[in-house]
Amino acid sequence: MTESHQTIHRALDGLVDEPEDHGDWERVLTDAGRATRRSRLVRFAVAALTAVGVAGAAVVASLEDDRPSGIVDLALAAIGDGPVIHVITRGDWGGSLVDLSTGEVTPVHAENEIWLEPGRAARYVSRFGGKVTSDRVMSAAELSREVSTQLLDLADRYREALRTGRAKVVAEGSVEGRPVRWIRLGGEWSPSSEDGRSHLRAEEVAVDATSFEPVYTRWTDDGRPVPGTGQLILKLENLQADEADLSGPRAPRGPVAIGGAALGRTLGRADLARALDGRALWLGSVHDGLPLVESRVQEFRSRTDPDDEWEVVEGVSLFYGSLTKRRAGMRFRDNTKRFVQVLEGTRAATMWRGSELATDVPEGSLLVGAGRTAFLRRQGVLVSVSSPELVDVLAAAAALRPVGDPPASRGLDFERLALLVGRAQRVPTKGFAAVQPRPLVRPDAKPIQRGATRGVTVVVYEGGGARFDTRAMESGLQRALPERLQTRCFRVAGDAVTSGGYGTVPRGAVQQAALLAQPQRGRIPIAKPPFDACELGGGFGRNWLPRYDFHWPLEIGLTARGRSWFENRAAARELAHFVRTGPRRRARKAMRQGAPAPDAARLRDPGRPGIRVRASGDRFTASLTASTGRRFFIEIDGGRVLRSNTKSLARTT
Amino acid sequence: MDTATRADAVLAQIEKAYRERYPMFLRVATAIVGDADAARDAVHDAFVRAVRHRRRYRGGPDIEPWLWRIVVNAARKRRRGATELPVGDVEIAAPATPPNGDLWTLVASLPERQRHALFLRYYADLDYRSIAEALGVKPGTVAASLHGAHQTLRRRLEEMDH
Repeated sequence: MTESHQTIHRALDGLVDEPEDHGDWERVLTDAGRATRRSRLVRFAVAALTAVGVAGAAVVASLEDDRPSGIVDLALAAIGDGPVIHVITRGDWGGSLVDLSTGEVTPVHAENEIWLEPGRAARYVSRFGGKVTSDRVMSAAELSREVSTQLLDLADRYREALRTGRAKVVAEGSVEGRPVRWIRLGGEWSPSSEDGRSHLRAEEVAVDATSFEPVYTRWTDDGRPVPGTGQLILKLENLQADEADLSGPRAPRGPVAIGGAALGRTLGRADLARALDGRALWLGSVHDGLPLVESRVQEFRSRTDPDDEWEVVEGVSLFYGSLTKRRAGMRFRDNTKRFVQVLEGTRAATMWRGSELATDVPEGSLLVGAGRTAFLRRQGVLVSVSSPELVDVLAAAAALRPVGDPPASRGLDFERLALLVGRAQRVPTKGFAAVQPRPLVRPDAKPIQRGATRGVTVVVYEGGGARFDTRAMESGLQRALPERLQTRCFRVAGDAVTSGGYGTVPRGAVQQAALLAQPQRGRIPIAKPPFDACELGGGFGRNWLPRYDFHWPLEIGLTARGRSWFENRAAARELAHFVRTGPRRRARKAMRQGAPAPDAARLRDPGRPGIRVRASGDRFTASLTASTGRRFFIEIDGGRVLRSNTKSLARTT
Repeated sequence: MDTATRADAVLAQIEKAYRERYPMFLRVATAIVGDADAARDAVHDAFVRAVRHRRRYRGGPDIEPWLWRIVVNAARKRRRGATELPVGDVEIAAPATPPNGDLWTLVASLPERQRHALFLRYYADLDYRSIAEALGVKPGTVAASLHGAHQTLRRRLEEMDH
């Protein structure tokens, strides 16, 4: 790698930190399943929603005694009557309007409205604080593809649950003081290696205790409500075809706006005082212990056609907090520490997300969203204030003033205000039925395999559970590995492996269990024990080469076949690493420019005497024999890999 | 191999890539979108899409370029559609300017293709052929894009140092 490449590499390293997040594969599968079901939505939605609306009493009556009989017949019978579904839902969150002079907090709701006439069209309207933020007419297929159809999906799941008898009345309670019954729609048990137990995630519907109409939906974990997942059902009705209001604008098919935001020149205090026609606001040179460390022009650019001129909105960006140490010759805004960021402009910009909402905020008030960003308008200047802490957002928004003005106290208790804002964004509900998590490995499960390496042990149980114990892990590994380790056990067939499932265990902590080879709904069939091997790993190259490959440094062979596979993989990786590093890397680069292969002696590595190198003309071949006796080779021609037998075991060459 | 078995095999490959390479997918998506939360959503959406459409996969044994293409497209869509989503579907947005402003500005000034090639090369360590597949261009175009990006970045980084 040349010096300039290294400089760019370092600079890019500083641009986006290496994530330690490993995602949520179970949620991918769940959502993929939901999405697949969505294609069936249009066929079933009318039936389901009609069943809910027209036959609500029958639905709940049958749930009471756990007999879903009659629901499907009623639903199907209803299709012919009212083909148009009209629903309005309100999220369990939205925003709050805060009066900065009195501290009064008013909830601002986000609502979605859907009209759906299967086979003809759909209309999707969303509103925030009563203002229409999106209104589009589209085909039913476009609707299910382009916008959130959570309620319609729910109808699908609701119907399925009712049909299969999985729906159960689990609790009594209330929604905004209105008495309800909570109905649980089955749910899924998911393994968690956090605590070695399986947990129930389920969707629940509240139906009015008197009318039996559905009034609210939410997700629960082990029966307890998951914050932020609730949705009020404000309207749910079935209408005749000529009653559908499909008069909104057609959904745009043309190109959408593209562009971005960029910081421009630095603004001194005098520049800032003149910015935005002299109307720029600030928080002083220090705000609540946070110094103003960056004051810059902010440019938002957008256009819908590459041939168009950029539409540029110029504003001001202020950052109160701290900067990072110099990286790649530069210092950056440090958002890992407490900070307040202020963006200002005289008009909303496409690439300034949410700024269009600020245009409607009354002067003297503040619109606080569900995130940690608030918008306000002062003398025609639109402002957004962001901070990781809501209390800092509120205090900073209240303290904004023209450059040169002294700070003024508003006498507000921002801690209390933050609490009020949080409460205003939630719909009060009562009632739930907690569920006990289940152990992943049953206490009476029979162990069938054991293995150990470098202080880590694994016991595989009949049926597929596995228990990893990482408490006695070697201290060097303790330091090098991340806090949570991926685990997997697998069977070997040639170079290929068939996974028995993945799990996660904490490093150097108490004994934990990972669920393997347990059939789960929606999952592919996976290998069952006995396994050939297990391995643990995690991390992307901070401590090992190659830098950009996943590492499984803890290899536990459970059979001879598994141990051989590890030996072969080690040799293949060693050889792959050999040909892409050191003199071989430089030689390959030169060979790509037309140079011949150097002498074999110049390509060898004295530290790796087991690797043989032959060179001739435009080619060189490196080979290594594994301890199993298997010979691996990589043949380089013109700098590129011509042939090799390592690819199934080592990814990068 | 029948269709169902093949789809299962593809699903296994998708899961393997997700389990083992998720941080790289997330890092590239974050670089494209400019916002870690939105990038997380983009990667999630991409894999949901990949799982849904796995029966359409007709590529070779290495599924990664196909996945990268879906992830890159999902991230691009997130970036472009930032204001297209109804407010009811998203929280009020975080500030448009990400941290590390100078470098973002510098990288953002590169043409989109150069930018994406750079991210895939440095954050995902993909070779030219895989980058080409992911971006839907020829390998020669990737080489030219990376060369152009290197030239521009090196020059501007030097200017910033002085």
